[in-house]
Amino acid sequence: MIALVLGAGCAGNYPAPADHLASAMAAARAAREAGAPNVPSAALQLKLAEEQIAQARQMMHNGSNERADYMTLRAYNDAELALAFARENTALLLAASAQATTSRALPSVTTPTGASK
Amino acid sequence: MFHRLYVLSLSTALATACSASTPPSLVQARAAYQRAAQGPAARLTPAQLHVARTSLAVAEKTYDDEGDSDNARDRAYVAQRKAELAEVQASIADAQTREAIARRQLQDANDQKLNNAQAELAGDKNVIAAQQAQLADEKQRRQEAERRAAEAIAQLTNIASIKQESRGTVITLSGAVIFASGKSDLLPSAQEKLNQVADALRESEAGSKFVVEGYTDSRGSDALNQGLSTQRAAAVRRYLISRGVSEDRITSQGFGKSNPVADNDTAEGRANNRRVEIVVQSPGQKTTQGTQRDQTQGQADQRLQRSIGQANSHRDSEQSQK
Repeated sequence: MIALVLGAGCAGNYPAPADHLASAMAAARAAREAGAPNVPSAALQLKLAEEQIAQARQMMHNGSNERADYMTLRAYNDAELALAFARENTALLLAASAQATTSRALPSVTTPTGASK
Repeated sequence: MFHRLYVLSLSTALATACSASTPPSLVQARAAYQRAAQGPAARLTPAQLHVARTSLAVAEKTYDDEGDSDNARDRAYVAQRKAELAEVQASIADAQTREAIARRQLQDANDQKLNNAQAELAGDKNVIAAQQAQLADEKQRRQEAERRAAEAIAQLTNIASIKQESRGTVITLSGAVIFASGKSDLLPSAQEKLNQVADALRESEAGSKFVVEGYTDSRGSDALNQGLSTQRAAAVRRYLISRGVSEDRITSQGFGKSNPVADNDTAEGRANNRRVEIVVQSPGQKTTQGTQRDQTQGQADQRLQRSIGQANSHRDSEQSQK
């Protein structure tokens, strides 16, 4: 989790958010490894995260460290959401598979349906 | 997903068009939180929902303090993601629960099947064990009955000749000790011997049948011999019935001079031919002579024969000593 240190110090001497950038990149990598590119909802969030990481790099390059820090925060949260979507996809597939197996073996048993969002 | 895409595009468009009013990112964050709070996340992932609520509060305060600043929009953006994350995590928890329930139902059903099969198997084993015990019990009773029957008949070797033939166990009584010459009335001395025969027949295996057969030597006319043998057989039958042998189990028949067992040209041979034979037919044994008996009875007869053989050899030994 990223520790928020936003708002500390003035624009002139705001430190480069190298740690936050690293955290956002790690979160994006975790989402990618969890299969996010193959799950449409996760793929979108991952794409946003990666775009924002690139923007943050550019901002840091331009000396806008504070804006870059906020951008890494956005990127981190998009990457985290991408990872959650990928995991949700896996969980839904496993649940459907288990319920199908049970329904085939036990036709009389009613398996619960998914919770509505 | 498409709903979220649409919402994202809309919020971006509104953010540029309506900068004077509440920023669309904040409006969107509020809506996302409301949706999450009213959904399963409140029950399934309350901690994540709390994080989303806190994040939205930070965004609201930033907007109050700074207006529609970059900071406020960034924080609203983050708050929206936190709310969406709460929803997705609730969905994950729900899916995992459904998977666990399905697997448990299957496992329970398999366990139940296994238990039923084991119970059925145990029941079968009990039935088989009971049947085996019953069979063993019946076998023992049968062996005991056979043994008693064999012993009872074998004891007759002191008063009669015992032979094992295909038609059954044959007890041969000399006619001279039972009847006076030419008569069919029992001699008083015969009764003691026939009493022992009657006792042995009563002891014999349940279901056995008895045939009393009368024979004469070859002297005299056939008609006379036939009539005499028939009357003598009938007299023995009547006496055995009077001594407790069931009337239904015993029959008699005269055969005259037929089936001689010795030479009719000698006095000794004729004496041997004058005889009464009592044929003991075990259950299941054919009544006609020379027929094959079933294997089980054959085995029983073999045991009987051995017993008789031993008794005969013992008797012969005693006689030779005399």
